[in-house]
Amino acid sequence: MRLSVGLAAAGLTLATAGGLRGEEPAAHAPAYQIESMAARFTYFDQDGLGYQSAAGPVTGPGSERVTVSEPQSEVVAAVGDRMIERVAVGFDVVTAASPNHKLFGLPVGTPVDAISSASRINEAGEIDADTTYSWSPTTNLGFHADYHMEEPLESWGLGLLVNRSFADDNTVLSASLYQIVDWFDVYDLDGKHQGRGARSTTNGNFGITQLLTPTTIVLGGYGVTIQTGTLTNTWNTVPLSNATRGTEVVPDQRLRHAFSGWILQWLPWQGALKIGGRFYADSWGATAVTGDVTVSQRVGRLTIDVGGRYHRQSAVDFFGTVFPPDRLVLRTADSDLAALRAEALSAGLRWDQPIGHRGQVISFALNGEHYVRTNDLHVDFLSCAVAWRR
Amino acid sequence: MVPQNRRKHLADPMMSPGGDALLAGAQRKLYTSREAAAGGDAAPAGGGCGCQ
Repeated sequence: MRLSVGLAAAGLTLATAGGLRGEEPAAHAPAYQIESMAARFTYFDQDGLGYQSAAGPVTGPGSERVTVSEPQSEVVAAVGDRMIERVAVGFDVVTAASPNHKLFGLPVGTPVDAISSASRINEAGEIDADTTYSWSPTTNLGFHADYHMEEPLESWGLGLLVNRSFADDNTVLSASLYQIVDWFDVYDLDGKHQGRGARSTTNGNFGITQLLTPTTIVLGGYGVTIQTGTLTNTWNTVPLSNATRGTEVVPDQRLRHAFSGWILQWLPWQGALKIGGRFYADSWGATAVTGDVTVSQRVGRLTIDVGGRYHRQSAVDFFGTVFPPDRLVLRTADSDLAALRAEALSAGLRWDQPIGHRGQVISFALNGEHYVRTNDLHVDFLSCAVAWRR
Repeated sequence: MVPQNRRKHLADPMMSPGGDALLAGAQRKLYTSREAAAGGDAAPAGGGCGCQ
């Protein structure tokens, strides 16, 4: 459940699309056929405190209160017998996404300062398109494009993917390369516009999927990401020892490595168990380990998912909660970059209702999650969906 | 080697590593925007939004 779309694309998509089912492409596939459609609405409710937030005492942590409403939709279509096209559109309505630095030191709830153009609510939108082309019975090629836009930022992403199966689809090797460019407004702590900033994110991935037994699959992955440019979001602040706030200063390059592994086990009572682990390290000094477990159980047309996640990370080398005012050194008070542990519990229900006489199914899903971080942050996540598939 | 005619359970939707793509995307956003560590899952670590 928690495996990313990317891992699925890099690893098992090929196998599940054809190899696992042992299906051959249809002899006379229609020129265009919608395979599935889905709509989902997700609500995040976050509360907590962080030293990077100016919405609080000058020297103390400020509010990280935010809510996000996120409607999403997705269409997957077959184009001929070799191509699958997926298009997904999402919108975010975010409160407190653009903090007003004129407010620091003022009581929480002080009205927004119009000079800084800060917003109580930001809207963001994104569109993702993935094309998978079956080059041969053992090789798939993929192309990804996305565009993301929100009030202070635009982002473009492109990706290429190839996977190849071996040993009658028992093993699938995959590789992918992504390039993302972000372009955004830069504001100083007085809320004044300081032109445009940019960052580049280049990412390469390698993955392997192996069928171990008729009930067991293992997956492994490695990803390397290099980021350059303005890597702060420009509105984070740091408390200074003279009871003021200064700007966050971070390196203009970041190299990130991540290794992940998963085992998927079918359970003989119509269930499935997924166990995953991940190790992460980057050039800013942060290391992290993450563990993830999900158990699924089918009861008639109802599928029940219960999951748990544990994440522990060290702080980046230049994290602190107060800095000297007289030196402009590398410094951040961003609570996301602090040493922390995070724990999450999740649950999901999905009802699959057959319709018609050709195997079509309409599904209704409800998912919830409670996420807690040890450095004073928690998020409640509620999501519902309706989907149709052929 | 697992022969094709013994992959019935592996092809069950509950064994899909990606699961629901829209849900996975929303959960990924939850984690990657609140933790310093991302990646390793065939997706970029960072970039694409205002939260680094």
